[in-house]
Amino acid sequence: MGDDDIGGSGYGLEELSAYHDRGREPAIAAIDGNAECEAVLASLDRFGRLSVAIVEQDAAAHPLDEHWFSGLMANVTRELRAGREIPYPSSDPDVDLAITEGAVRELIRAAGDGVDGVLVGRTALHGDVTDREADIAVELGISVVFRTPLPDITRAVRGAIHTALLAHTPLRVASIDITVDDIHLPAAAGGAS
Amino acid sequence: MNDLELAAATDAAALQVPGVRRLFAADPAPVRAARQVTAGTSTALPFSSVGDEDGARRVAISIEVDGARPAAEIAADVAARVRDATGSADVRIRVRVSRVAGDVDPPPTGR
Repeated sequence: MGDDDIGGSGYGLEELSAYHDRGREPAIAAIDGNAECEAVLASLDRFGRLSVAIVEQDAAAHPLDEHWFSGLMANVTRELRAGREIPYPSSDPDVDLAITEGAVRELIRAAGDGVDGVLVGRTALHGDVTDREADIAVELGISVVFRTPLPDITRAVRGAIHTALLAHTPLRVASIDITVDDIHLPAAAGGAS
Repeated sequence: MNDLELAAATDAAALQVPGVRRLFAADPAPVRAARQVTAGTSTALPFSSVGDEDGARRVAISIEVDGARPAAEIAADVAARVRDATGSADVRIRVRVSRVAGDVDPPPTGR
């Protein structure tokens, strides 16, 4: 199993991208039944949505930088691995409930990407996520299509992520730190980033 | 109930819980492949896995939830439903949330 193998599916990012591009046809059970592959495919969906937004803004319709895309998707595939299990409280000693670290990272990505014109590039969870008492710091870098003041965008991203983490994880989120790594400008304001 | 029957019953019970969109294999792919070989059948194995843990029977299940209600609640409901399905208080149950689906996901398949 190579480094590029996603979730033990036997498929790497290139194969998943091709599968995504052809509309997931014909269906490949090893991909469709794999949580990590599904997370990467969902990221590709969201990336496609942002690409359209960028092209719509840029009259010259410059293609997106391939290296930027490759770097971003490498982050996605690395971060969405299942990783550690984060335990939920359980009143029954014979029942263990948990959410995977990969699921939490995807939750962060999906919440951030859900803000109009935002794509989450990288995420990090600082602190012992397996300790229910530990404070956790969330750190992320985002790309934005510049049409709203940046403080408003980061506030919306922070709010969406906080809401998602509160709803679905047992984490004690102490902070959510956001860095805007890339800004895509409209052509009239200087072209794409 | 043998291991295969218990795993199948676990799958069926989990899929009855509102908010569970689909199941993923509870075992890593190589382990699942080995199980498939030793099962001696070409029929796909259940997603859940059954094994022993500290001398007790243990069933593990990996789920994707829809995000409409808290994932922890859904996981607890799955455990309760699986407990009923096993008909035994002695089985240890492990429920892992492997995905919380977003609104851009395609419709679930493989159920």
